This record gives sequence, structure tokens and C-alpha cells, in this order.
Amino acid sequence: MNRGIGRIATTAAAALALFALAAAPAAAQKRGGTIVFAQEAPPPTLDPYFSTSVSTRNVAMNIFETLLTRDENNDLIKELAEDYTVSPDGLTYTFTLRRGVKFHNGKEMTSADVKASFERYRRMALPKVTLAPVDAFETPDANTFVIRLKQKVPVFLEEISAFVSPIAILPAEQGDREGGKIDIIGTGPFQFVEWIADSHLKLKKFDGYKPDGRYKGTDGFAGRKEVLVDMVDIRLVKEPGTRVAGLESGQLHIVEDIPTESAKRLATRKDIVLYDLKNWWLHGAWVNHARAPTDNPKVRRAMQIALDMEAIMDISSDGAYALQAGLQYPGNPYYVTDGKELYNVNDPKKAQALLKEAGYKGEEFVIITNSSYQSMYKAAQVVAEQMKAVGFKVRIDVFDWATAMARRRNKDGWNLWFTGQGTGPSVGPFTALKDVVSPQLNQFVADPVLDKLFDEMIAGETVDARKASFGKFQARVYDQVHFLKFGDFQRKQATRANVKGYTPYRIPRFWNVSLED
Amino acid sequence: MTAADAAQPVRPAGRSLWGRLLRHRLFVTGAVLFGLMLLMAVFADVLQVAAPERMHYRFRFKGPSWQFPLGTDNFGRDLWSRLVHGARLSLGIGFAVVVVTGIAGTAIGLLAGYFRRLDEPLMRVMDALMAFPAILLAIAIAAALGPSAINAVIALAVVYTPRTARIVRSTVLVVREMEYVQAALAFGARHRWIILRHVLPNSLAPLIVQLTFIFAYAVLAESILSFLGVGPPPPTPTWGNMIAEGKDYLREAPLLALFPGLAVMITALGLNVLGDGLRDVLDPRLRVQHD
Amino acid sequence: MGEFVLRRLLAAIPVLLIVTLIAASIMQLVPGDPAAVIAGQGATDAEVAQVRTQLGLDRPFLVRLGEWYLGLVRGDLGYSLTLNRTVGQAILERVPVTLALSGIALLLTVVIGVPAGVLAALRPNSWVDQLVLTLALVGVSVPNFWLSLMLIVLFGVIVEWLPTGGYVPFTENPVEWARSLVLPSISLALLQIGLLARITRATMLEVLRNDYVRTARAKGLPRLMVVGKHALKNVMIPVVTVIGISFGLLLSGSVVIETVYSIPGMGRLLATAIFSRDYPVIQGGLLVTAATLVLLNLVVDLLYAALDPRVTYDRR
Repeated sequence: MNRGIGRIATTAAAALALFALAAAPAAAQKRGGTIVFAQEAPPPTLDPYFSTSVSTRNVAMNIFETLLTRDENNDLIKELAEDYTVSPDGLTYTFTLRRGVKFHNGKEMTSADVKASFERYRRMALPKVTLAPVDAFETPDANTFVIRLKQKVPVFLEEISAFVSPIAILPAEQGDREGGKIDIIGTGPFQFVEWIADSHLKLKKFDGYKPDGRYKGTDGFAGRKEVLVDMVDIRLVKEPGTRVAGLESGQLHIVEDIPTESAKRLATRKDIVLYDLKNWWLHGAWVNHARAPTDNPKVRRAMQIALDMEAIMDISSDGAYALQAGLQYPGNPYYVTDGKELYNVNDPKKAQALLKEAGYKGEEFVIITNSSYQSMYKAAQVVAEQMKAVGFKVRIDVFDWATAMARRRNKDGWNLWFTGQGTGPSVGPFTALKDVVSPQLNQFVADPVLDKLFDEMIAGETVDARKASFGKFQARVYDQVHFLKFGDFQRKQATRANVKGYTPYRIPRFWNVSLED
Repeated sequence: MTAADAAQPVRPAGRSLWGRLLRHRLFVTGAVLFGLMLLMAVFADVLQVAAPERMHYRFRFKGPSWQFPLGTDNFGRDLWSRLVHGARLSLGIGFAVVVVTGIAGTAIGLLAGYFRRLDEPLMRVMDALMAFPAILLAIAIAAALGPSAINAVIALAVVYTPRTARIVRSTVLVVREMEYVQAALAFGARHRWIILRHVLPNSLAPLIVQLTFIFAYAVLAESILSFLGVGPPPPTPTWGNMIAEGKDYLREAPLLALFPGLAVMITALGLNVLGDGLRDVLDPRLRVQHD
Repeated sequence: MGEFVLRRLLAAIPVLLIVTLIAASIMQLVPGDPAAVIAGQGATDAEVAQVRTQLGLDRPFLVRLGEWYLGLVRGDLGYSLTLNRTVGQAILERVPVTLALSGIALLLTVVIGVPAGVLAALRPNSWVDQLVLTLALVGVSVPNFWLSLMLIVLFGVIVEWLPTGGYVPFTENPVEWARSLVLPSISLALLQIGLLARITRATMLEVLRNDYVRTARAKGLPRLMVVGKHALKNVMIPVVTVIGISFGLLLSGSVVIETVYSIPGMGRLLATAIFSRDYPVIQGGLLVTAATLVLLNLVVDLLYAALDPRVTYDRR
């Protein structure tokens, strides 16, 4: 009798053990939990058409998806488009859509939704000029979307895959909504739950999401997106010190931006992982060509060669920087170094002589910077000191961001306007410095040579042709100093050690990320 | 407790006013503390070891040393030099606020208290201004006018004038009913003479005490404005600016934010203690008043 | 009494209107462009202009102001430019937070301030008295945002007892809610505790010196009873007044504290709105805040009258 029971017990134990072993991988897969992410700035809106803000995109690109977007190397990648063809004359683009893609409200995505989205974009999106060459949108059937252009635009696909203000696919009913007034319903792996202004946003896993089988894992904005958590809690924490403290105490899992000084200290901790997000933005300033003394090219040259870019970048970024002359990032398909002989010349004596030669009579040099971005605030102070040392009479005006933006349009108000060009250069050369090309003209005086080079670049038939034009464009910017580049700003991000699968990118990607115990 | 109790003019008999002040422990302590800060401000040029804006690029984040008594900040600027020059600006702004508030508050309070018909409209506007949370009003005005020392003064003066006007007004209301004022009026004395000769001198005691406290509030408030980015712009050092710049390096270089904060505290403390002493001496009955 | 209340309430209306007028005018003077903030860093002038038109910001000031007043009559405070919801909703979300913060701070103020003041008054010039006075003075003089930063480092990181920022709603987790409010309410209350302690002490001293009380003592009544019944009641008058003022100061002080600790309250709503030029929120928020303060003053005055029959209510 005992032996019988003993055998049953042993068998049962063995069965249990086998069962446990079999179940273990499955249990390990089913992780869940809530990722707590800390973001610096609140998003002005969640409508991706209505803002170019990073803070909007951080959230929106986890909720929405586009037909085409960019991969880890900034090349084109298909997302909601299964495939596409371009007609030989370059006037017709035909997209085949992926099937079985659901919106967060359960509806299946069809070409009608794509058409409504593109039409809304053309009507009210900030960069709606992208779709200006479009003649018509057509939907021959529920899975095909056609764009007919009025004239050939070789860079059209690059433009509609750009993520400055992405062409997110919305349900057709949102088509007539005004800017900022859409319902937040997308096709992305995360679903919008709530937004308590100035406190946090919550997203949750969209159970109806079908990861894209064409890809193996995370790839830029697209790829195979699997959600390994239940929710994402995006906290809005303005103070960098509070973000760091939250990370250290474990209240925050992922922090978007860590001050470099703190990063050095956190590097020694085993429970925190640091990431370098290189190529975050080009740190620099717009130069006003209409106001004295920067209306004088010699004065601009003097200013350009007087500056010690290393000091400026080191202080404003606390050591997280790279010095390079390009208006694109190394590794980008369009990276060129034309004009580098005028970058970081750092010759104050020569600058002083040049300034005299230019006939500088002590006109006040006005710098506008802002208190919202510490790096710009600090850089301005260093630049001012260096310029004073070679004989400029400098005044710094610090405003909050809203005022600074308003003042930028004031032709008589400034000579240098501090900025960070982030998304623009990362999207490509056409967005990198389009602000100095007509009609935007941040420098207030049109440069016909530059305008012509820009048009030439856009019209180039091949990548190589466009790259060559961009080289000339960049050289011209250095020659005439429409934009003063200081360096490449890097960003430090950090996560708790139990956050797995996170790779920093231009937005925080919450897919394929899990929380271990 | 009505205003009547509060503002009986007191003429201390016997010992001189100065004598009593100097013997009052609080007054002396406060004066010493505040005096130290004042000396720093006045002699900033002599006390500094380097120009406050000068960036020593290779000496960033250094701790205290012979060359840099309190160390350097993230720009390589000497903290001590910035601290003493910051005193100049922070105290200067505080003083300017006191002067403007004193003049404006007294004028409005006098007019409202003395001329019945002006009382209602003036006090309505003062009430409206006081209904704004002080800091918000200051931020809004400073943001509107632009970041500069002068605009910070204006913003803070607008915030504190109503409170001062109120105090002056309540004193004036009482003094106006006094026998000798009524008598003067009956004799046909002109308003201006009555105000200057009787009303104003008897309203001074509570006013001076209040202004001392306003000086303290102003220094504190200026640091908040600078901290929020709407105070005097860089590279001018103010204590508030320095705390704002230091807040990003709290763990790594706590001295950057610590010293200017201490400086603000010592100044405000000195002024508050001074004000207490002043109040005790000038009119002990005022001790029961609100701050 | 009822007539007094009614008169005060009616008198408050012009004050409130002036408040809104001042608020709207100041913001009109403030340079800076909400459209630019919304459109983002990389936006061109054309794009910013587009946003401005879409939000109706290119209409004349008086038109917008008129529209806002009309909306007020209907009870509509307008739609926020940056927060994606009505002003009313934004305020409703924030009010409980600030109330909780100010409420706890006020509680701390009274619970610590009054006993400290009484204790100091009962033993004048003793070490207890000196300690209370000194601490009170320090509390009034310390820049509370700076102290907050120091506290965050001390309690949030070095010792890691308390959260360093952010707010957890009571409904979500009461314990975390309380923990998230500890440091902020202490920072906020410090100044008020100092003030209240001093005032309580001063009033208490005055009352104790009062003949009335001395007579009762001379009659042989136990000290505690004398203090308890007579002195405290009289002390409450200025204390109540100061509490009223304190609450107003607390609401004001919450601006900086909420910013430093990242707490989503009214103070931070307004500060952020000022910086992002969200006019509807600024106007609506200031109106609500001012109305609250006015009501508060009224309540304090009524309490005052209830406690001290000597106070009369003649024409202002």
C-alpha cells in the first residue's frame, strides 16, 4: 500500500516538475507591470499634425503609426504600407496597405482612413507644404492608396516618411477635426488612457495590436513591436535634479534626460544603466544678416573664427558633446564635411584684427537666449564672454521660451538667436537648415545662391546628386554664416537595471521593453 | 482690537530713541547680520578675488582654495566674487522696492485714509491687487516687462504697495480723528499742512517697521523670481540666479546653491530681527499687530 | 449679520472684475506667443501663424476679452490653449491637490505653531522661549524653494525615505499620497509656523498681562483653568486672522513648492500657464484663486466677529 502511494507521489512530483519546467518559459514571457518614464516637458498637444515638439512625438509615436517611416539608420522603412511602387514618370505612388491592422476603437484600417488622414494633413498640418505637389489621393480599393503628383518630386518618399510632424494614420472620422482636437485613436502598440495636464500621461497595451511579422525586432520607429508590459506611466518632471533623484530611488524606471554631471556619479551604481544618445541636436545660433553689426560679412567672419567651440560645448553640455562641422550627423546617408575649415578656428587674435578691419565701431551685439533650455542658456554666456574678449560689445537677453520665440521674428531685436536643431538634421538635409532658405529666412536676408543650391538639392535625381548639392549648400552656410554651429549635443539617458530591451532613440520606444523583478 | 488701539503715537520720554535701540538685543543682532551683508554689497569690488563674470575654463567645479575661496561654478567663475556682487544686486533691488513701495504705499494710504471720497475706489483696486497670489502677480508682471533688475523692482513694488497702503491708511484713519487734527481743521488749516505736520509723522512708526519686513520679503521674492527665470538676466550675479544655476548640480557641487541660499537667509533673518527690535522700541503695542 | 454678509459678497464682485481685467491686461502686455510654444521648436513662421489662426489668437484683444466675459456668464471658463481640455476641467483637476497640500500645511502650522507660541508665552525669556523665537525667525527668513532643494537631496536621495517629487492621488494609493505630500507641506508650512508661533506668543503674553486674567489668578483660580478658558479664547482672535492670511500665503507659496516638487496643483498650473502664455487658463485660474481668497477673507471676518463681540461692522 505504501509503495503504491510512494510511486504515485513520485510520479506526481515528476509530473509537477516537468509541468513547472514547461510553464517556466511561458511565465517568463508574461511579464507585465508599468513602466514609469520621466519626461521633461509637457506635450503641448497629442495631435501629431499640430506640433513639431519632441514632447508631443515622444508620446504620439507610441500611439500612432505611419505608412512609411525611418529605421535605426534613418533610411526608409515600411510600416503600415505593405509595399509601394512608383511610376516611371515619378508622378504616381501606389501603396498596398497591410491587412488586419486595427485601430484602438476596434475598427479595421482601410484606405479610406489613410486618405482622410492625408487630406487632413494637407489641410491643416504644420508642414502641410510637404503635400503641396499632390494632385489627388485615390482609393481604388480598401487596401490600396494612391497619390498622384502634379510634378515630379524625387524626394517625396523621404518627405512623407519624415517624423518632424509625422503623417499618423487616423480613423477617417477624425478627418475634419481641427488642430489639437482629435480623439487620440491610433494603430500603434499602445493605447491612450488618460492625460492629467502637467502631471502625467498614461498609456496601456493595445491587445488588438498585431506585431509586424516582416521584421525581427525594434528598428527605428517601426519594426516588430511587441508590448511586454501592461501600462506606461509618463511623468512630467521638469527639474533634472528631481528626475535623477527619482531614478535613484527607483520611482522612475526610464529617464529621458540626465544631466551629465549626475551621469558621472550614477555610472558607479549597479542598479542603474546609462545610455548615450549621440547626435541629439546641433547646438548653434541663427545669425541676423539684417541688423548691425552682423550685416557685415567681415564681422560675421570675425565672430565665427573667434569662438572656442570646445569650451562652449563642454560647458553647455557638461562634457556630453562631439565637435564636428557637418550639418548632418556622422553615419547619416547625407553626411558631408564641406566648410570644415571655417569650423572651430579658435583664433581670437586674428578675429580681433578682422574686427578692426571690418570697421566695427562698437555697435551693440545682442544675443537672445532662453531660460527654458539650460544648454542654450549656458552656451550664450560662454559665447558672450569669448566675444567680449575680442572686442565686441555684447548684451545677453534671456527670455522664457515663448517670449524668445516671439522675439525671433523681430528683425531689429537680435544678432544671435540661440537654438538647438534636433529633429531637422536627423530627418535629412532638406529639413536640416531649411530655416535659412526662402521663405522662412531666419537670417532675414535672402541668399539667392543658397536658395538655388537648396532647390538643386531637392531636385536631384539620385542620393549622390543630392549629397553633392548639399555639400555646396553646407559650404555656403559656413562661408556666409547664416547659422553658427557650436557642436553636436549628446544626451544621456538612464534606466533602472531591471529594464530590459530599451534602446535610446529620438523617442522613447516602449515596445519590446520589459521589467524584470 | 481695532485700529484705534494700534496706532497711538508714542513719544518715549527720557532716554533717546537711539539709546534705546542700541540697547535692544534684537535690534543690534539684526543690525549686525544685515550690516555684514550690506558691507559685502558696498565693498564688493574690493572684496572680490576675480571679476564675477570671468570664466576660468580650466578651473571648473573646483572646491574652496586660496585662489577661489568658495570654489568655482560650472563656468569656472569664482563663487565668492559672485556672492559679494550678488549682494549688491539683491540688496539693491530690495532697497529699491522699499523706496518705491514706501512712497507709493504712503501716498495711496494717505489719500485713502484722509479723503473719504477716495477711500472706496483706491481700496477696491488695492483689494483687487491683493487678491492675486503675490508671487504669481510678480511673475506675470516681470514676464510682461522682461527680465531685468528694474522690472523686478516694479513687479515687487506693485505686489507690496497695497499691503503698505493698507497699513498707512489704518493709521491715518485714526490720526485723522484725533483732537488736535480736528481742531486744526476747524481753524481752517489747509489739508496739506495737516498731513505733513500731524498725520504723516504719526504714521511713520508702523510704516518703518513694515518697510523693514518688506525689505526682507523683497530679497526673498527676488530670489524666487530669479530662480524662475524672470529676474535680472545673466551674467549679472544675483543670489536667486546663483541658486537657479546651482540647482542642476545639487549632488555634485552643493556649494553652488548652498551659499547664495544662506546669504538670502542671513539677510532676511537680519532684517526680520532688526524689524522686531525696531517695533519693540518704537511702539510696544505694535507687537500685537499682524506682521 | 446676514446683511453684512450680503453686502460683503456684493462688494466682492467689482473686485473680482478688476482682478480679471488686470489679469487679462497684464497677459496682453506679456510678449511671447502661445502659438510658437505649441507649434514647437522646429516650426517655421508660417506654421506658427497657422497655429495662431487655428486657435483664434489673431483676433483683436477686446473681441477675445468680450467673448471670455460672455462665457463667464454662462459658467464657461474657456478652452485651454495648451492642455487639451476646458479651463474648468483643468482647474477641477488641480484644486483638490492644492487644497490637500495647503490643508496639510495649514494643519501643521496650527498644530505646531499655536502650542509653540503658547508654550513660549507661558515661560517668557526661558530657553524654550528663545528656541521658539529663534526657530520662528529662521522659518520666516529661509527661502523655501532653496530649502526644498536641500530637503529633496537629504530625504529623497541620501536617506531615501520619501519620494522626491510627483504626486499620487489619494484614490490611487493613500499611503503614497501622504508620503508624496510630506516634504512639500513641510517646506510650505515652515514660514507660516514661524509667523503663527510669534503672533500666538505675542498675543498670549498680552492677554496674560491683562488685568482681567491677573485678577482671576489672584483669586486663586488654577493656572491651567485661567489659561484654558480666558486666555486662549482671546488668543484665538488674532490667531484666526493670521490663519486666514496664512491660507492665502500658502496658496501663493504653493506656486514655487509645486514647481520644485512637480506637484500638479493650482499654483503650478498658473505658473506654467504664464510661461506658456495660455491666456484662458491664466484668466480663469486667477479668477478662481482670487474668488477663493475673497471668500476666505469673508469667512475669517465672520469668525472674527463671532469670537470678539467688541468688533463692530460700521461702513468701511
